[in-house]
Order: sequence, then structure tokens, then C-alpha cells
Amino acid sequence: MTTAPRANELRYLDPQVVARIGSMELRARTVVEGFLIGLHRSPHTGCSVEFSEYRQYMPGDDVSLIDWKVYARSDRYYVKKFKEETNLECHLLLDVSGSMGYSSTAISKQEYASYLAASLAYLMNRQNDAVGLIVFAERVLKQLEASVRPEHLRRVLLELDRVETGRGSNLAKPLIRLADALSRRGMVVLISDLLDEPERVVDGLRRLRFRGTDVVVFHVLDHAELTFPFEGVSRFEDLETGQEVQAVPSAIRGDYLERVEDLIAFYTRELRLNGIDYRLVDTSKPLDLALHAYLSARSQLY
Amino acid sequence: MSFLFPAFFIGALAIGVPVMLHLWKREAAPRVAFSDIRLLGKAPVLQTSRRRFRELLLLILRIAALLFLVLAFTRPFLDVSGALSRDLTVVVLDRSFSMGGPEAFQRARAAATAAVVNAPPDHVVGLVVFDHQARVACDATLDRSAVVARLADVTPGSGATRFAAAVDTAAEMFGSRAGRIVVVTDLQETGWERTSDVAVPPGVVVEVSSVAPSGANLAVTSMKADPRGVSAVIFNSGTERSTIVSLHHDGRLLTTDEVLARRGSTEVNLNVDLPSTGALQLTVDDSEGVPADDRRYLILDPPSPATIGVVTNGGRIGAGAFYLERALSAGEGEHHFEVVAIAPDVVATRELSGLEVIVIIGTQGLNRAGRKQIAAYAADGGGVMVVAGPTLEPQLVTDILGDDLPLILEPMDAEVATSFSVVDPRHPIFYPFGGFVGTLGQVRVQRALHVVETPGARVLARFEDGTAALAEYAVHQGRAVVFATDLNNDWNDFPRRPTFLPFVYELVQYLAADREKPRELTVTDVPFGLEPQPGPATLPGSGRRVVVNVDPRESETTGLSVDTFLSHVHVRESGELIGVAHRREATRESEQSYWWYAVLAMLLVLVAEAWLGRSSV
Repeated sequence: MTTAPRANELRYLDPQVVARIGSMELRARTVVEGFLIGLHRSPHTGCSVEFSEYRQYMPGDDVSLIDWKVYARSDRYYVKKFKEETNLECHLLLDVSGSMGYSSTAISKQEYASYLAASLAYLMNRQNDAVGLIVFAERVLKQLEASVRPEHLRRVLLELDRVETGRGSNLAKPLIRLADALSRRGMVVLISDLLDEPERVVDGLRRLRFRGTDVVVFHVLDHAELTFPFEGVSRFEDLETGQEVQAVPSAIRGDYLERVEDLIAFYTRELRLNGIDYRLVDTSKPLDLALHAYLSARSQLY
Repeated sequence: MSFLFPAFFIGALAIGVPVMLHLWKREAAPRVAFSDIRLLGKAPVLQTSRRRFRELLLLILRIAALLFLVLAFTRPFLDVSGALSRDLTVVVLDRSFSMGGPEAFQRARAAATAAVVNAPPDHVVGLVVFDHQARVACDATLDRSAVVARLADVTPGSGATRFAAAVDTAAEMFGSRAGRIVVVTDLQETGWERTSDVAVPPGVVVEVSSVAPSGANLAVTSMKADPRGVSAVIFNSGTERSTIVSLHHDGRLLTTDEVLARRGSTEVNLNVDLPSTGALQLTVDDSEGVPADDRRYLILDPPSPATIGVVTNGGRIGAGAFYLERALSAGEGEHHFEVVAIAPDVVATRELSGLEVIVIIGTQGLNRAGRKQIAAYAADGGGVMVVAGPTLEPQLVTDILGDDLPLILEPMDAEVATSFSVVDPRHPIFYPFGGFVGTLGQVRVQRALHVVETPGARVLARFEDGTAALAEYAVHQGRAVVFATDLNNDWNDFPRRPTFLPFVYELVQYLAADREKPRELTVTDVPFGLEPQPGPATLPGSGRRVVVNVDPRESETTGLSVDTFLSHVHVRESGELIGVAHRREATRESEQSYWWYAVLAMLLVLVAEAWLGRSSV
């Protein structure tokens, strides 16, 4: 059960506020704790198969957890307690290609993506999920294997804090590499602006999906990319290739927005067909939307 | 490649304008970082690299267009053979008819050929032929055989010798070069006119190769018809000898006679009944002299009457021009006039150039266009006669001739009986009256307009009160005469006086003098469109028959000395030299007209520029 977070709590989910927080770990904690307070749900609601102990039933406990065999033997209500553990291995794929460096406000797409990744990592670790990290641009720049250990989380957060914007972009490459490397089922969270060849991106994700991996895609786009608010003749410089085009924004706005909508519609349709959870993220929006998406995807696993 | 106006290369500095615009425009649009410009792909945008290349191409095209324009203005030309830079020998060959004696022209041609062949080896050679006109028969060239071949085609003509035109034409071939002008001529004395000295560029030497003229030449130098037949003058430059004179009428022999031609001029009279029309040809038998002056032509057709246009109200003779028309129509011979009445309102649309004189009597309906037409007629050499009278509106007359004829006609204060007297009896109008000029004073004038004398007026007759009765004004090339009273027995009794007729004739003849129609022309002054050949001819345009004769002065065989010839030739100032050089180069340039190619290239470049500019909008 969820309730709407209060405004004071929500402000910690505002990416521009988060950006002012000192370290990535603190950012992640702020986001997650803020998020969970808003959620009013125990972060310790883990699932496990390893029995821990019996405890006498207390009002408010879930009736489904009552061990009816013990009741038959002892005529008392006991509920089973299980040792918290996870078998979920989650890999965060963070795109730091040149296009991710774009920002129309104080926070770039890459910064937003980093905060999102950090928050997810923190949340996953808190739920005893193993977290791995792959940072890539036109090639894989950094890869951390999935682990549930707290010090590993700090490494992940440290890497996310250090990450720098790359140049080119090649989404398919890390996806293929990851698909080949994954030995067990898990979850892959791709955080990217997906500004690559859409077919190649979908092919890469499809390969992961075929290996039984659950995939969540956060399609991070700047608000200006979604609305194209430019005015006056401008020379648009491609952040990845350095190429320039001169255009009159008012003349091309319609075509541009149509193309962006087509692109989003393509990803939405193709990824859904392949059982991939696709979330469009506007960097001007709070981070909790993305966290909701993650939890939603995770809940479908159990 | 050389350039006629190299100073125009300064215009090439104008390429700085597109260059500056190009550089200034480059940073006009602000740069905006963007994540993926592929999303702008199909929008009307231009890749920067392509845009830069396109802008560079546009800049190059604009600069090229400007340079082509500058090139066109500099008027380039080629001097591949170096003919414009080498020293030059110009052979100037006299082909006037005095060179046409037996073997005389062969000697002249041989001398010219020798001048060509013996020209200094490093010289280019040109050829000018001349009589009263000069033309370049062969431009400066290294190919002397071509010049010699051109010499073989030259024959003596019917023209008269004019050295000035010949030396001028040759001098213009030099430009800034040095060299020689070799004049091959019989040194005709009449070849230099009094004001015909010429100048040659510095460094150009004039040499004369004298060809002896025919020693014994007979020429018919004048001819006229009289009641008894024909009288002519035969000029003999040799010793006294007998010769046969023949008279033909339109190709038919009328008579022949043997004449003793003394040295100098001999008058010949041939008594023969002449037809009233056709052309006569008088020929003298002269096998020793030049043939062109052995015959002379005379037209017998009566002179066509002078056409007098009378502007009267309604185009009616009776409206103020009755006596004038009667007087003019009664004339015969040289006083033969044809009167044409013209309504004032049709003057604007009527062709006036065929009229010898325009007499303005009535002005009712004379509009501005008509007045301008008359003014143009007078300015072009026409004679205009303004006759005061009841139908003349003085302010319109002033308007007709405007500033060119600052004439003010004002009504007199009262009607007074008066007469006029001639101021200048020697004036051509009154001169024929001789001692009878005083009889004009018998005319009683009851009324007249007051002609206000202006500085341009020449008063020919005055009334008793001293005001102008007859005044003359110069109007550009023409003239106008204003008669302050009428010619129709309204304001005076002039038409009933015996002096009326001669006064009108002389007045009209005086005004028509500048537009006389000559019946005899010389080869040297035939109008454009008429072949300069002796014989009967029909003038193009008017269809009038005339005869063309050779210039009789050319038959004079008196020769100049070489020194006298050279005394007419001076060395040109350097400033003039530049002008001459420029003309020569201009001639070469105009022959080649490469500037058109530059203009064409500029247009093509501009089309390409427009296409390129438009394709990227």
C-alpha cells in the first residue's frame, strides 16, 4: 500500500535538490529513505526460502504466515520466520555517451542517470539484492560484478560519483557483453537516452531477454529534448560527433517532435513485445518515479 | 594578355565586400549543444560541414563574379603576334584618281611593295590606302607577303587626295610604338588643306616616296548648259594639243568636236539642242593622262520646286495667305515654289523635314507638340518665317521658339499709318533690289505688332517710329524671320505693291538657302548610302536625281616638294600619344571583344551562385 509523500519529503526526490548533496552515497540514501518514507512500507519485507524460527502470532501478523501444522500439534498460533536473503542479481547499465552530457537545466542527463543508478543500487543493496555496475559509452568503461556486500555498494557509489561523460555511443556492445557474461537469471537495468540505432538497441536487449534476464529500461531524456523549446536561427552541435547543423527551430520543431515521438513509440512497442519494462524518464521530474518503476518490475519477479 | 583599361583592376578590391560579409556572417547564428542532430535530419537544415563548404563555394562564386565583372571592364585583348608592341612600318599608298595615269599606279605599287619588303627586319608592317578617305587595308603584321598580296588588290579610285586623313590613320596604328610611315604619293598640291596639319607619335619618322604624276593630262573641270548648248572648261596640264570632245545624253551621243586644248584652261562651247531632262556626259579624249577626270556629268532635269509650308488657320490658304500663295505659285525657275497649306492642329503629326521654309500665319489650334515640332525643325537648320496678322497669336510664337528665339510680339498701342525702311540694303533679302530698295518704303502700313528687340535679334527693316518691321534671329542651325505686319492686304497694302513679289521671293529664298537641294555632288561629298562613283545617281531617301563628278582640283598636277609635305607633319605631345595608343588598342580590343566572354562567365557564375544559394535555403 502506498500513499503520496509529503512535500517536505518529496523535495529530496527532486533531482536538482539531490544534485546539491555532497556525496553519491548520501544522495542515494537521501533519495531512497525519502522514497521509502513516502512509501510507508518496510524495506525489510524480503523473501526467503531458508527457515529461521517460529514466533507466536501477534495481532497484525499476516494470517497466511501462520503454520497450521504447528497449530494442530500445539493448538497455538505460530508464524514462521525466514532468514532474509535474496537470489536477485541486478546489473545497472549506465550510458555515459556524449549525448548523455546534454542538459537544458542545471542537471544533465548523465547526472540524473547517475543519481538514479545510485539510488537504485542503494535500494537494491538495502533489500539484499546483489548489485553490479557497467558504465559504457562507445565501449565498456567500467564494470563491477554484482555483489550484495555493503563495501561493494560503496564501490558502486564511488564509481558513479567519478563517472565522466564519454564521447561516442554504442549501446549494443555492453548489452551483448553482459548477455554473454550472465550466468544466472537476474535483472538488468539500462539507464540511457537510447540515442543509438533503435534496432540495434532492441536487438541487444532482446538477446538479454532471451537468456531469461528481466530487463528494465530507463529512457532518460532532457525536458528540452522532449519539447524542443529553441527559438531563433541556431547552429546545433552534436555532442557526440561535433557536427553542426544550422536550422530555424520554429521551422523544424514539428518534424523534430514527431521524430522523438516516433522513437519513443518504437521503443515502447518493441520492448513491450519482448517483455521488457520501458520507462521514459524526464530529467525535470523527481527520481521516485524511476524507483517506483524498479520496484514494480522487481515485484513481478516474486 | 593586355588590358585596355587596367585601372579598373582597382575594382577588384570590391571582393573585400563578400569576404567581409562571409566572415561576419559565419558567427551570426548562436551555437547550441544538442544531444543528437540526427533527429533534425529531415528538417530543412544544413550540415555544418556542407554549409561551410557551400558558403565557401558561394564566396568563391561571388568573388569570381566580381572578378569577371572587373575583367570585363578592363577590356582584355590578346596581342599574340606582338604586333602591338613591335616597331612598325606603315606604308601609306595614295589611290586618288590623279594616280591613275598610265603606269603611274604600277610605279606607286612597286614603290609601296619595296617599302614593305625593305622595312627593317624587326618591324611589323601595315598598309593604309587613301584618297579623300583613308582606311587600314592591312593591320600591323609580321606577314609581309600578306601585305604585298593586299597591295596587288589596290587600284586607283575616283577620290581626291587628302593627306591628313592618311597620315592620321597611319599614326593611329602606332600607339606607343616607334617606327616609320612611308607615304607613296604623287604629292598632289591640293592634298593638304589649310588647316589639315597632322601629328605623329614621337619616335615615328615620316618618309615620302614620290611617284611622278602624268605630265600631260586633260581634264573636264566644269560644265554647264546654256541656251545654245553646253559650255565646258578643259584643263590641260601638258603641252598644247588637239583632242576630241564628245557629248552624250543618257548614253546617246549628241555631238563631237575637235578642240585645241591649250596649256591651262580652255573653254569649249558645243552648240546643240538639249533635251529638257536627263543627264549629259562630256568626255575628252585623253590617252596620256588620268582617265577619271576625262568626263564630267550634268543633270538637265529642272530643279524641283522648293516646298513652302504655310501654317494657316484650318489649313486654308484663304485664311491670311492668299496673296502669299499667289505670289509664290507664280514663280518659275529658281523662283519655283510649291505651297503646302498646313492646319496648325496637324503640325504635330506632320513630317516637316521635306519643307524648305515654314511660314506661320495662323496659330489657332497649334498645340504644344506642334510648337515643339516647329522648334525642332528650326533647330535642325530649317527656315521659319513668322508673319504678323489677325490670325497670329503672338504668345504662341514666343512659345514656339522659346529661349532660342526670345521674341516678344506685342500689339501696338494704336493704329497708325506708317511705312518701313530697310536698315541694311546689303542683306541678301534686299541686295537684289539694288537701287530700288527704297521703293519698299512706299508700302503703307495701318497696323503692326510691336516686335520687342532682344539681344539675339538682327533688325533688317524698321517702321517710321523706329520699331522693328523685319527682324532675323538665329536658331541653332536654322534661322527665323519675323515680319511685324501681315502679307494679306489686311494691315497694309504691301500685296498690291510691285515690290511684294520680289520681296517674298527673296525672303523665302533666303530662308531656304540652308536647305537647298544640290543637283551636282563631288565624289568627296556624296551622302551616306550613295556610291562615291562619278556618273548620274539617285539619292537614297528622296529619290532625287543628281550627278556625281570627281573633284576638279585633283586634276591639278602641281606637286609639292617633300619638305613642304613634311612641314605639315608634326610630332605629337605625349598626352596625345596616350590617346592614340589607346585608340589603337581599343581597335584591337573591339575586334576581339573578349570582354563579352567575361560578362558571359560572370552571368554563368551568378546563375550558379543563385542556384547554390537557393538550393540551401
